[in-house]
Amino acid sequence: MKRTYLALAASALACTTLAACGEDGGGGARDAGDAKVCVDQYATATVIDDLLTGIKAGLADAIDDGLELDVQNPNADAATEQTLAQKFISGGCDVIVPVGTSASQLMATATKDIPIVFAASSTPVDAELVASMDEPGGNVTGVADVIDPVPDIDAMKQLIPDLDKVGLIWKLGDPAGDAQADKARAHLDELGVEYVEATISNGSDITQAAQSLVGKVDAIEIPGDTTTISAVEGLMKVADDAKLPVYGGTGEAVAAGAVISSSYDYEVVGKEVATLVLAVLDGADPATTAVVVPETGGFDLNRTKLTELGIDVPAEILDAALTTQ
Amino acid sequence: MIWNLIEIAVQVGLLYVPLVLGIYLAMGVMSLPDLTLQGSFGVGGSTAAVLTINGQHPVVSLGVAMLAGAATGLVTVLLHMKLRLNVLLASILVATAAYSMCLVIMSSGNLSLFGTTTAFSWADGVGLTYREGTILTGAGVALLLVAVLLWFLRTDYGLSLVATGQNIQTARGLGVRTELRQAVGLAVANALAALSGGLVVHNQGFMDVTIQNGVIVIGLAGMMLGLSFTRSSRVLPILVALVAGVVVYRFAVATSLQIGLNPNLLQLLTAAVVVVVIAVRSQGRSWLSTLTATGRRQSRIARTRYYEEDRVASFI
Repeated sequence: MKRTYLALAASALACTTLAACGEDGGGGARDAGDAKVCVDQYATATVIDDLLTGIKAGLADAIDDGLELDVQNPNADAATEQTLAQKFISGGCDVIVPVGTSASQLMATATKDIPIVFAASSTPVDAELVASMDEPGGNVTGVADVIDPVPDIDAMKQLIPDLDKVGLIWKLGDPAGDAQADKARAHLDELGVEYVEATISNGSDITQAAQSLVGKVDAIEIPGDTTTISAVEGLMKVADDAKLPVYGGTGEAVAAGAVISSSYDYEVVGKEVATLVLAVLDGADPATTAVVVPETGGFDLNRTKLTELGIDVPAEILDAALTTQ
Repeated sequence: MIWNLIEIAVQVGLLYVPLVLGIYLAMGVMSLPDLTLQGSFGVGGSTAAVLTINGQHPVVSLGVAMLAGAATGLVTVLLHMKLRLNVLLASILVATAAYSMCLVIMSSGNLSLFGTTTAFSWADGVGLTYREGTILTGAGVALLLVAVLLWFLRTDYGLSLVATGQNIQTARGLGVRTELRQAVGLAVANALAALSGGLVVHNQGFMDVTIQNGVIVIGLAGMMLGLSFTRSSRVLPILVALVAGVVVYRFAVATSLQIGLNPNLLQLLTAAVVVVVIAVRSQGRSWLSTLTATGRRQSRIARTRYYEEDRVASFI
């Protein structure tokens, strides 16, 4: 036992020196040319792929000039995630880019020195990543994809004039899902529209959640967490059978058969991340660099589905459409 | 480079030592396939997170987390004893329910511990880095647990616990109240898993309801690796091997990430490492004896006996 203790003490000692050499990426301007950007993509999902494509496109010039981009995927495993954080900290990363809220929280806890530019956390203030959107105050800033279900619901009200009841499907316990569902409920209360909640705890629950809404509601709204969006095909099968229109859930859901959603193009979000990363490499202090909230831009519209369901689309919504299917 | 990987492995691995010791206690000592441990890990993490955010001392929050874990384990025991439900089934049920429990305890799916005093905060005060603080705290907890388990499993009560797990009929014949021992064993094992959850949450600075998913696999892999390091049946070498096992497992993961292994293959690698180690352990020595006819016969008998013993009672 004594020997074990000594070995541990020795390892603790040695890391003083190593940690000291690893954490030189603190302040100060760095030439983007020889810098290293470390991305923790957290999990595998289509939205994340788009985001990464955007980041890579935005950094393409810098990569040609010698910028090193290290993309890692811990597949949402907490322990691997921690291993990754340590690898990044001791691996000479100049900027760390975690994707999503929990990866960002972990990185922000693990290092207070290396600048962190989070990508796509929709609740950075609630998650205590930043003190406020304008003045982050620490070593963390980033791009927040604040999905707003309000425009979806307004469009819904416009498309279905006698809207009476709306079903809400989201992943209970998901910080983004919970926050956006709150917004949706508040707005529905304002409009005097009733709602029925159907929550899921993982993607495979979605068929059942959707079935529980059939016959009770006039339309389904997806406030928009990644789990629900990833499982949206299951929801569409049930909704199509019952001839229920599905709203929200970003362009992802619209591609799968939802009728309309205010949305982000995640490649654009990725490019915003890249711009912010380059700014930080140029010496911008994350503490005073405001969190970027990209424009939602407009609607993704699925006209084929709307025609199928016999819903007429007013001209103003058609005008606001970014993409039409 | 290698040294850095070792540090990462020690730092991350030590946080999972309580979980591995819990799994060993439940599955190794008590011979009960208890998957509640995964749920207790989450319940412990949630409890610790909520108490820490409310300003409780880290020791208090981890202590209460352990009690919550023990209670979760006792639910499984209750289902097992009162409803005569198989432990494996009962524990899967309770682990599923624990997911909801976590959401209820936290009343959200994700809590941030930013700016709170955790079990690792002291390192800041004495000028140590995050990593040093983690390693020292983790090592302290691991040492303490190994020492306590070492003492506990050598007491009369601890021995009766081991006897219950080894041979329940004999234990009962000797006058041991085996059902009580099973309850205590699982409660302690789940308390350990909950402590692990609490430590991970304190360390990573947030609690997310998904951290419990698949955590039992990490523990099992660590345990299998650890057990393959020793053939001794004495408690001390086993406990030390378990601690080493989980660190070595994290080392394998860190190395494969470092050399740029496709992360999609990571779980496969985990399984492969465990299978290889076990194959070497079980086949390595017996290979020589298969050269003689007597040796072959003996290994056949041993194999048949193993097949007979390695089955569970029908679930239904």
